[in-house]
Amino acid sequence: MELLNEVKDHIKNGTEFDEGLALKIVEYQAESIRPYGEFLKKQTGKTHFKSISEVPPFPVDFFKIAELFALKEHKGYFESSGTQGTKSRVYYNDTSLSLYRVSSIVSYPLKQRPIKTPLDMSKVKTSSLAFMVNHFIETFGGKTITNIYEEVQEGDVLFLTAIQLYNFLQTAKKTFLKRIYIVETGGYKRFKRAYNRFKLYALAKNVFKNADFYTEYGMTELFSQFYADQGHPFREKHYLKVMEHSYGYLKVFDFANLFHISYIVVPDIIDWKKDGFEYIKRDVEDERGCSYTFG
Amino acid sequence: MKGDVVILLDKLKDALLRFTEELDLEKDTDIHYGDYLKDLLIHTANNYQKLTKDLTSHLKMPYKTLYAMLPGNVPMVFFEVLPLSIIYNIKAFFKYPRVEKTLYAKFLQYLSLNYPRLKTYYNGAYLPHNEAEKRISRFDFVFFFGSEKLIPLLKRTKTPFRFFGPGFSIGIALQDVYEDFIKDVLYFDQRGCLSMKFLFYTNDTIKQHVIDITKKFADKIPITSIFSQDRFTYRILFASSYMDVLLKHKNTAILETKDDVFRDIPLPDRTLILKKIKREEDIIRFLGKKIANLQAIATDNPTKLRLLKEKASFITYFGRLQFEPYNFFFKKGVTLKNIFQEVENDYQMAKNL
Repeated sequence: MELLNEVKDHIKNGTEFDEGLALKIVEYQAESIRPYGEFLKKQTGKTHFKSISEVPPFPVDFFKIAELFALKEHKGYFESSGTQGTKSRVYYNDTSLSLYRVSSIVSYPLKQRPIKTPLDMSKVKTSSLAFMVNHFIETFGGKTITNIYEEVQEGDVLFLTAIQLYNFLQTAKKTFLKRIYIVETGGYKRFKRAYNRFKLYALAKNVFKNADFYTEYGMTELFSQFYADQGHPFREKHYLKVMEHSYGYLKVFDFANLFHISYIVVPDIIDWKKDGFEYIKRDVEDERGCSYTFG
Repeated sequence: MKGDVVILLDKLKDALLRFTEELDLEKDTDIHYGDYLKDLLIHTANNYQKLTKDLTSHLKMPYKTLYAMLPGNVPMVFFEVLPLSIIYNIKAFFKYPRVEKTLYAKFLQYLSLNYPRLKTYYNGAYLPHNEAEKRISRFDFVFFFGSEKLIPLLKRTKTPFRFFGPGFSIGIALQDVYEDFIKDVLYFDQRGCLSMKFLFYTNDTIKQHVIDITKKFADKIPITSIFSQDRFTYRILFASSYMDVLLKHKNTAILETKDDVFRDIPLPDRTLILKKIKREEDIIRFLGKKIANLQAIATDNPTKLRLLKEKASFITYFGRLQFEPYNFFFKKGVTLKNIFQEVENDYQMAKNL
């Protein structure tokens, strides 16, 4: 498929956001994914656009209620954790997963280092996170672990969720002195309050004395991932473009989403800094009054 | 000769009327509902007096202390609980929401300075969630106001309680709407159970009238301090895939659905959903199970409604939806006499569980 190869090539070799290719993707998705075509027609009256600024972002909640897949047959789906209620489903097959593999590797900043993770890898077919980490392990080596002190070696990458890291810190009895790289991969919606990775890492530094901290920000609906290293904000990529550099909901165009929807809006509040963004929190209605919540 | 309870309720009425008169809306940044808030307060104060009609002494029940967890954006709830403390001779503690906390604190401060005896009945504070929950066990009875998000907390609560909420209200325009209907929709960003979420209409002239009135008032009725523009835009994008957009203002919208049965999707704040009907049965079919959460109805002709009379807590005229009638206590069937009776699994109806 020509478009697939074009997208893969762009992800691997591109340097800046390719608007022409992005518009091609939108048109392809509008033709191949009926609910998306209907959405665009309803919002704009058309499915062909001259500029990406004319395209409305697609609310990510549609993944909770519609089957959004551009190819004829799928062989499974990734499901979100559903911490906010209903779960999202993103359907896939071997073709779409090939793009996931390419993009996740290009996005990943710690290539070639073995990965150790306490993540539950039994969900590799339904959790995009497990799929991705499993792919990293297959590519760079590593394994799942149960004991961080004993199984994580000098130079390893420790890949775990914010909650796992936090819980480990609560029970850690001694410091960990090996030089390692920690990739914390969110899951902070379960904290049910504004999440501050810097506070978490400051706490973690008391235990992991010689660790470098990276943060992965991804979601089931995105086949590419944002990373933030050390104290820096999350960086966008030429194939993973934040479409509005401001404070508010994340609007992102992901070329690796070729077979579902590339241009989505997510109710995650971000704050754009000079060269990237900080994740603030998932937008939840904390003071709903006494009105009935529809949906 | 007036009994003590009657004297105290008279004083409470007096206090609220004077407080309302002196309330400086300009200076209080989170009290920005203008004269509408004052109208509601005056209406509530007048209801206090009606409560004295059948009372000569305090009503009796076994509890001495009440904890009231107030909802945000529904300022009348606090003022409607106040007389219950006097009538039942029970000391109340109010857990304030983030919004309106200034208003409530201001009123208790006003009592402290001018009506010290009344103040002995009340205390209140804005507390973080975990602290608010910890305090529950210190009280004999709890009133929970809010959405179904409280259900996990209710399940953990050992103290006897009543749960009020969640609900929604509707409008039914049989012949026409009049301008005041927009107050039922937009004040407090539709976060109260007495806010109008759906308007059922019978002819297209009404529809146009609704659009015109909404256009006229969208800017005049302010958003609350916690209105989220992003959330509004996001939900309009989502909902408009299933409904027609009749009006999209920067923070107010009118959508119309052609569905016979409501499709359960997240709805934006300050958004009225229109639905054309021929008869009352259409409304019942449209709402389906959700009719269990129907709170009240505003209409141009309350006497014309037959079937829905039994389904709603009360029926009133457009513009009066948030002006609760005398002896209405937050939920259908709850009266002054039974409000402190604990109901097993009081939250079952919260989301048609």
